[in-house]
Amino acid sequence: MISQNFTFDSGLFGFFYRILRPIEWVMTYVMVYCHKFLTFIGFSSGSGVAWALSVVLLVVLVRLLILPLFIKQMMSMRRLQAIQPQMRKIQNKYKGKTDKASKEASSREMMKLYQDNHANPAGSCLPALVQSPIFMTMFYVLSAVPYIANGKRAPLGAFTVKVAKEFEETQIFGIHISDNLTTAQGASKIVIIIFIALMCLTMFYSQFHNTRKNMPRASMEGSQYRMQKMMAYIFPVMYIFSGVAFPFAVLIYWLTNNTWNLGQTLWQVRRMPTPGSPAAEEKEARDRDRENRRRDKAGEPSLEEEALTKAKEEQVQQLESGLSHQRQQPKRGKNKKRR
Amino acid sequence: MNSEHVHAHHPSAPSIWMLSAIRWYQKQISPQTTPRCKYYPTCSRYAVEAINRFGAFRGVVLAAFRLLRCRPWSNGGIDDVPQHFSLFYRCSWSKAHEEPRLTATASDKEIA
Repeated sequence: MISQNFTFDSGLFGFFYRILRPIEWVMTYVMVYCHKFLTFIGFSSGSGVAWALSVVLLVVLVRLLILPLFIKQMMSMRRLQAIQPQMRKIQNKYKGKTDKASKEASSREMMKLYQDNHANPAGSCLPALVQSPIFMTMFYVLSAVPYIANGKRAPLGAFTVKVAKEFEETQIFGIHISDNLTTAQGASKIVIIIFIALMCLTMFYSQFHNTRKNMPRASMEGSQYRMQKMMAYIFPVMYIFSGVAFPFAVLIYWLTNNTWNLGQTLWQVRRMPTPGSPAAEEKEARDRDRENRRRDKAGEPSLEEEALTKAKEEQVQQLESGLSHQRQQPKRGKNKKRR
Repeated sequence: MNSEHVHAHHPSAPSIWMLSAIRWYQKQISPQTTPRCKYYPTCSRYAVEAINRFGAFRGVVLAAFRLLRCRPWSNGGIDDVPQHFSLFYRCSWSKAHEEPRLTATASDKEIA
């Protein structure tokens, strides 16, 4: 079934995972306490669904921890919308100039604007840097469980031999949580394949949705955009291969995480789209419709009607004051009189 | 020019190695992602300038500090390599402190 020794404890991997040991230790305790909480609210103790759910809870906890970063980014996007006019001014100033010095000057001016307004379209690399060791740790801990259970590896944190055995024997949808595609038999193989497919699909769709809807129309052409679209297809395919080797518990973790990601992306694209993107246009139309419906209910003229009457009034005013800039059709009688 | 610019003309072996690694990143990896730097110049350009100006060791230290400055709660913006080496050049009390510039200086251009 499983190989004799736990490969992650040797070689280069072993070195990395030794550095991550404190996180691994914390993670086992978090999972055990999640399990305790779940049994407290009525799930059966021992091996059972509660262990699978504690994996889900772990994801939720990690994502909640980095949620403030996401919210912060959203606030920054909102401030960015407020400085749109100034951004457009800079863009117009350097319109059509492709020399190096102008490009440099325009990006410097744009950056200064962001800096002064505490707004920035770019996220930062730190959340990704923080998240990747957590993923690595997760993978390590869940992969180590069978080896702890059969005594090949020393217990890790809260995962004693007893807990590891409980965890390993947990069955969900008829699959042992520590099985992977190659060790699973019969119908459980199909369940695992469904999980891998869902995992890839959620990942693909959140990327696809983002590139298709949430990019400024101006940057939606050229080789770079095509490359990005390609990436949306290629990454999930890479996941298929890794998904084959992962124990089911890791798949649960990954699917939950991707689903959370998808939800966040959908919410962000709908509520706070990038200015100039198709999603932003949709939001504008939506907001307009909502306002019109409100006005309709209140018996007020709609936005379009209001704009029309306003324009008419202005025209009348201009005609009356004789300040119209529009060229008037010459009138015969009028001209003759002047002569 | 002062002694700090000496490296710009005689890059050492480690700095040549590092510069080519950054070049490789800029050519192969960076174009495949969206432009997403919150600072100007980007971290990789910053690293190139810092290594050229101050040599491999001090350049890498500056670049590492720059990466650590890429935090969700930092503002981003213009952050040039300082003319004189200091780890605290971002602080207004530092002697090496420079205000954000809207145009590149001559020495910036010479290196970039």
